Amino acid sequence: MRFGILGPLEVTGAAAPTDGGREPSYAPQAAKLRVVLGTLLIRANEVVSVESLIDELWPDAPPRTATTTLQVYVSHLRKTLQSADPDNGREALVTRRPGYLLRVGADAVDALAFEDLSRRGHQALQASDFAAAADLHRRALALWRGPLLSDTPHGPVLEGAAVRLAEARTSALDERIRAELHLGLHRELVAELQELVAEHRMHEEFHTHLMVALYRCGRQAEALRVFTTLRQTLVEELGIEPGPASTRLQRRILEGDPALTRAGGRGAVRGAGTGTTAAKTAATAATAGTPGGTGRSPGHDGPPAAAAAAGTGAGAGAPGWSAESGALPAADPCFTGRTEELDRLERMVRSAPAGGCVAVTGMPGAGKTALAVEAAHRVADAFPDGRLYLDLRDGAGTGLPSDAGSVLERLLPASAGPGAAPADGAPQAPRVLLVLDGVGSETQVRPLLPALRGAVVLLVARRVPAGLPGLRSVLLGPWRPDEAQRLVGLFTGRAGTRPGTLGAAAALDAGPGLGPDTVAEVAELCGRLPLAVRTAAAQLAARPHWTAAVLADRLRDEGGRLDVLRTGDVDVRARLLDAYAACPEPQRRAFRLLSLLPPGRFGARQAAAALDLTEARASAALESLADERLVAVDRDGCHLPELLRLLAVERLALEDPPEVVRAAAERVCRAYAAAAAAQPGRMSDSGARGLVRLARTAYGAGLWALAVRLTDALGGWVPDDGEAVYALALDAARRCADRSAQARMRRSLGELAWQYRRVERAHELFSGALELAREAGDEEEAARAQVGLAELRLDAGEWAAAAALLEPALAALSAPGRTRGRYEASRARGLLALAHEGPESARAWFGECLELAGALRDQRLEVYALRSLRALSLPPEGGSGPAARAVEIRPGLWRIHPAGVPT
Amino acid sequence: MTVDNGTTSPPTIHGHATAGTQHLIHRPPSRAYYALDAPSLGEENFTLVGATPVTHPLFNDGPGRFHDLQIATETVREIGEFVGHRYFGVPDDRPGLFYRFSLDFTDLSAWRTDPGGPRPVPLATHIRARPANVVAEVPRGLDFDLRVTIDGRPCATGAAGLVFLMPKLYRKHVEHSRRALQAAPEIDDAPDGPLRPADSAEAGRYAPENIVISEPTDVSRGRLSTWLLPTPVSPVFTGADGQYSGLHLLEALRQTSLLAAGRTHGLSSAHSTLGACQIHFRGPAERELPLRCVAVAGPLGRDDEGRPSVAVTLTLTQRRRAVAEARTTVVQDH
Repeated sequence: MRFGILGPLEVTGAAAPTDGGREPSYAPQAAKLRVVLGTLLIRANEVVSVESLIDELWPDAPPRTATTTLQVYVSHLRKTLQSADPDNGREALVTRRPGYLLRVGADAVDALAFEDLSRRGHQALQASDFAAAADLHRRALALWRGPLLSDTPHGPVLEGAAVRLAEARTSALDERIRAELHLGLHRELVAELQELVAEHRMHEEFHTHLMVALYRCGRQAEALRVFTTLRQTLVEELGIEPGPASTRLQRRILEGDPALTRAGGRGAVRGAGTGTTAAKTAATAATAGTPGGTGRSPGHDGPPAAAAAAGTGAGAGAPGWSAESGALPAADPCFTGRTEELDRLERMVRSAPAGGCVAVTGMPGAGKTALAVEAAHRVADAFPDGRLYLDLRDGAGTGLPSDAGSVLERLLPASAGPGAAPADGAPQAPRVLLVLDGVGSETQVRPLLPALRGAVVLLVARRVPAGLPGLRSVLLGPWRPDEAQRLVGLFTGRAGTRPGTLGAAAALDAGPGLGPDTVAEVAELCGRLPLAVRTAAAQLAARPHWTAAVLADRLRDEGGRLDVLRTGDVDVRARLLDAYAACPEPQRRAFRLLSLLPPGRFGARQAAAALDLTEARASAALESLADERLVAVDRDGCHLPELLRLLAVERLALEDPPEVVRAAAERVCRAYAAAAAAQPGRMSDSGARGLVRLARTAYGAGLWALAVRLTDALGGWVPDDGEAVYALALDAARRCADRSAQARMRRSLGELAWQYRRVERAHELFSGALELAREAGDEEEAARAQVGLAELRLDAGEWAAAAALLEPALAALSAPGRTRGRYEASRARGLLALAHEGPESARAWFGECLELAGALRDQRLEVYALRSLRALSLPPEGGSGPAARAVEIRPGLWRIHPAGVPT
Repeated sequence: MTVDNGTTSPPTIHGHATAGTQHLIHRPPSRAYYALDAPSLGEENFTLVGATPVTHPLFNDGPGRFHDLQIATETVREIGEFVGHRYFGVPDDRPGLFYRFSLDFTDLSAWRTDPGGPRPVPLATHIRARPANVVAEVPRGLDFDLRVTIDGRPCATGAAGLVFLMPKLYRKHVEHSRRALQAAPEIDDAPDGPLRPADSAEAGRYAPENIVISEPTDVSRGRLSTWLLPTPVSPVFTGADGQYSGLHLLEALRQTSLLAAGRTHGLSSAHSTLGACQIHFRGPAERELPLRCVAVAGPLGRDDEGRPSVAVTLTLTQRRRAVAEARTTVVQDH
């Protein structure tokens, strides 16, 4: 005789199954009988008092004949039980003061079996026997057919039992999932967990399990969204924030903690932060030795020998040297790009001799650890005795434990330790790879080297640790621009370079507006720094109401960019500040002052202006900053990585007196203005953008004449916000009462207005420029203003008026040193000839343009003149399409006359 | 490269009643662009600037409460082909045909005209062009993204697809299409009798020569059918090769949309405009053959600002062959 109460009541007996294969059910039909039987089963093998049964049957008001009625019910039940088990059924229900007792075997009631299985599952989990735990819990959960006695009315006893068993079921489910996560079944769990979080919207542990499962599937963005949803639910419905375990897990996902990716890693269990108290205790106990609660709990990746070595408990209690220390974190599924660096590092590690050192260095946030771990996984075949990982950062404050060498000796297998070298001194192939992360200086590493004669050491450090013999290093910079093009996966949670983890699917799943272009722009705004790009991706994932365009828009604001790049506990600014703070003050000061240079490359000369040093000393200062990874150096010069530049701007405003900043800004502006004046018309686009920025700086500092000089140095180049740039310079010219400069700026503004067909405004500006130039006695500028006015006449078809303006302008601009003005006048005259006189006349003027452009060495003007001459040699366009109505009146500017309407 | 020919081709004498002179500004990514005298293989950006017309025979005809949406579609339609030939190295003998076009108003208020009377207002269209289906470094088509600003106010976004046809292929295509139409009398579709122009007030125009659709037939439950009037209509609609021009078809779709929204839901054509349109052209339309336009008005809705709006689905067919399919939204302003 068996009883099922985990669901509708079921009573099965010894009778043979029916034709349909189902066992006949002897469950009583009457609800009251089911209540009595259910209550007795919940308290199986215990005496249940008559009062309790009466309360259960009639919770509100028992009838006067309650006791008698109960006796009748018991009698009926005995008959039922006898039907189910003719031999022993009737005797199973015993009358015993003060009530009744139902005798059943431990496996005869499904609830009892459930509790037994889940208890054993719990014990298995505590014993880290994850396979058994998963199996036992799965069997326990399989007994559930629905809520406890779902077809039976509940009184106080059944209600309490229902709550208790439902909670037990949830715990069993939780532990089963936890065990299966340990077994690496995260992919299989995702769907079930999605359902569970939908059902249990406020159950944090299911949410954290789902976050871990998604993260391990490489779907970090979705994992973060789960946290966002949980947080939203808790805040909206309870007004509370998620607990510390959930928050910690979110932070680890944001940090891309590699330990979290490892199935079976205890860090992962802890990261999930889940479980009943006992299970949590077990997990916590297992991670007790992890350093400082950073979530960097190392996993184990070595063969049995190394595992045994790592598991000896050597150094227990010393920070960073726990029993678990030494295990390599799992490969990061979101590892992206770095193909060349990875290949180079792999070659270096494979070719390093026993006892050799290889270093990965680079600026903070460049992804050094991720690269080292990835490389360590790739070279697994070259290190038969395993690969170990140690993070020295936790010991950074206090130094390594004094017995670090001996700790390491015990940690390493014999093949890598100090006795590894054979007596005859013959070289031996390395058998172990040791990754030392967070190396601050060579003094941390040097004492360990004697213990590492049979190993290769892969160091991860911001700067190259000097003085280590035979050290080879890989310097890690930002992602390359072509790598940034492929980062869509980071924003969709499908990043990675491994086969099948990155590709078209990622792009297909991209959110609205999240195309490669937007991602590339976001990456550029983040200086292509991996930490910053990943933080930006996390921001987007954590804010479902943001689109990629909103993110890009917020990042475009230089002043607020570092504020945007902060989510959870990941703060890009703080990481960069660490590197800044680690430098001595002279280097910090130099770093701050360099922020006055425009973004982009600079050399010792520009640095000398900012730092007020000789070029030689400025070079030395740059080298020193490059060693600290605060300045990037390549063959073409130096530059401040974009986010470090923004940090330097912030620090300059905070730490340096305004008079110092103003003096330095003036030096920089003068240096750039002088350099631009020395090579007129040879400015690159980035150089011109730098001048625009400096002109603004000069204007802001009240350096009016410098603001004008820098704008003049643009040589007519027009940035996107050209009108604002020239308007500022016009104001600066007014303030320093330079009429000639005012005329130049008005003329430039007039040309812009003309380009955008604001004809009246253009006329006003050109006229004003002409007047000012005449007042200033600036014949050249007056002539150029006349050319502008002539073009307006030309546009209106007033050939004679245009010719009248151009004639004196051409004469004035024929004087030596006015080549540029002469070019513009000849171009306008050529257009007039084309409209009014015919192609032959026009050809002569455009021929002159070609000569003048050659003298100016301006390729843009030269190509335009050539195109115009070529066009004149071709037959006129037929038809009435735009081609027949279009004239290129300046390089890249077409005037398109309207089509005549046939009448 | 910007051009290989036509740089300084003599300007045509101004038309007396046109949309005005425009400037097309090429916005290369850097000045280094000019060092390469070669067609572009990537994205190019342009800004087309001009002013809203004040004396255009079509665009300035009607109640005049809004700038005509077609000033944006028409200018881009013209510029698309030019850009392909000048900047993407498409041979001049390959005509460009727009096969899809969409425009959505993002700020209806910017499209309102000055109540004091028509005056030219700065109109700029930012165009991003990307080559499509590149064969031997020559694109067979171009995809355009459009952003329209009126008086500096962003007010519409759109997209367009242009295909460049090989001359022989194009002629063959037209011939085939023509033959196919004539060779199938069993699918003949023609009006039952003489066509009477639609009521000009309902079609949103005043001048009789600008009415390009007939009084609707088969009006029932939000569905109506009209015929395009090939003649007598304004010369602005003149097409080439005996075909309906793009402007003729667009105007027919506009007028039918207004008429359908008015008859079905009572929207006043004088206070209404197209707030959005998506058009897909399927093939050429012969002026000599009857061209039917069927419109189905959707339910009356409201736009984001609470204005009455009606989505209209339109199909242009000639001898039961689809010439164009469109979906428009008619919005009645406050």
